[in-house]
Amino acid sequence: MTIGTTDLTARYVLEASRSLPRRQGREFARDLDERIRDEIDARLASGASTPESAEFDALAALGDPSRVAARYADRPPMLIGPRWYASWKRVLIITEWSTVPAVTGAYLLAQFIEGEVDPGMIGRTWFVLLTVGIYLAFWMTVVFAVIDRYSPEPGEENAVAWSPANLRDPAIPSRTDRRVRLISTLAWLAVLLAVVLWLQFGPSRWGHLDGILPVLDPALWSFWLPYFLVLAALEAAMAVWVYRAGFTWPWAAANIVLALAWAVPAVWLIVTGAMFAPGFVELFEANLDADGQQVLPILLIAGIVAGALADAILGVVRAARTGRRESLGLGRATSAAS
Amino acid sequence: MSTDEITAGHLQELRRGTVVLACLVRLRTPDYGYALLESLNALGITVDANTLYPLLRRLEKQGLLTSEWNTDEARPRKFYRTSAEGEGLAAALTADWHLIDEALTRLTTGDEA
Repeated sequence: MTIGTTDLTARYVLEASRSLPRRQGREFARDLDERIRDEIDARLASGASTPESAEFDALAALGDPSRVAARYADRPPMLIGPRWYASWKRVLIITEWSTVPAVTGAYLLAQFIEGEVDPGMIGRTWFVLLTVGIYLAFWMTVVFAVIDRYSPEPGEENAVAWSPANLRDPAIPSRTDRRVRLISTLAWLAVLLAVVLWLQFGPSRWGHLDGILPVLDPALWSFWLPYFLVLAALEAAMAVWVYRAGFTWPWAAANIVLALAWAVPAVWLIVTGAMFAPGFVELFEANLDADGQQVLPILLIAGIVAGALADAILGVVRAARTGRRESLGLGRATSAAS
Repeated sequence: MSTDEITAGHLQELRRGTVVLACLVRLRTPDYGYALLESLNALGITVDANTLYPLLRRLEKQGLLTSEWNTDEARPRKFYRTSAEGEGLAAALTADWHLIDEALTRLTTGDEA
């Protein structure tokens, strides 16, 4: 052993070699040992360190052994490098957004169906949401970290060659698209209106038809059915608004309010059993067992809640996309041209 | 970030590739890491040990340098020497260096034709 080195150098070299594959490790250890000894000699020759402190100073100047090793190994100390970062981020976002709401929603629904409705439900659902989210993120990151480390062709920037054809279709609705959307919304509302009115007046006014019962409770005509008809008129107004002004933030806000105005009373009416006509319910219940009678309203409510939620979120997403396009100065010009 | 730091960053960027060329030319005469570091710095080609040692390994892996352990002296040292491929790369880099120099000269004198 040369003067000036103790087992400190050996410990440093051992620590640095640890993160390297065995076949690289031996050569690296020799290199590093040589480098440290030369550094110590240089410190002694220049008088920068005393013979007692030279080794310590040289190792301190060299820094964290794992970082030194990372530089030698040509492996930057990062989990996912620039080559895979974009793919990792895209896949992670898509997977989280598609899986977490679906699993959490299913779990929530299952609890309602099993009748485990208590305050602890919020905590349990929150736990499921977090667990699924973290689990997905963790394993996704592990997979990408492995790919990043061991994938061949380190020179390739992208796993899949990119072409301009890959550009996302911004789906700026043309004037025709918007007109089609307006007409279809209005037509759908008209059909809905006709069905509600016919259910109420059809069977009684045009002669009583056997086996045809009103679906909705006629008692609702005192307040709730007119209320829903007003909402339908507001929906029509919203459709005209979006046709003229496009997806804007005020429209998205109004859309959320309207979704709540539909969903909250509808859920409340189903829960209190005031929604359907008595004869209709009995007709149904006669063909269902006890479980079915319990599950059916829950599924109906879940459908209403999911529908309202999707509608509200879709409105916000569309407004955000339009807003981003306009903030880039692209919105008006492109939509005017199309 | 101060102006000095920005300048230092850009200078480092500008010099990065020249270290490779300097190593290839200097190692026509075999030498070991620390001696190379000293001689480059003495010439004014400032390079950090943290950059140089990994660079030597990389150049060796790419076949541009060959290495040999010299055990004649008191301590074994790894001596690097520029290989034939390394000479080829040095020639290409030098030629490119001159092209860039000429282009920059034309730019600064305004004689772009």
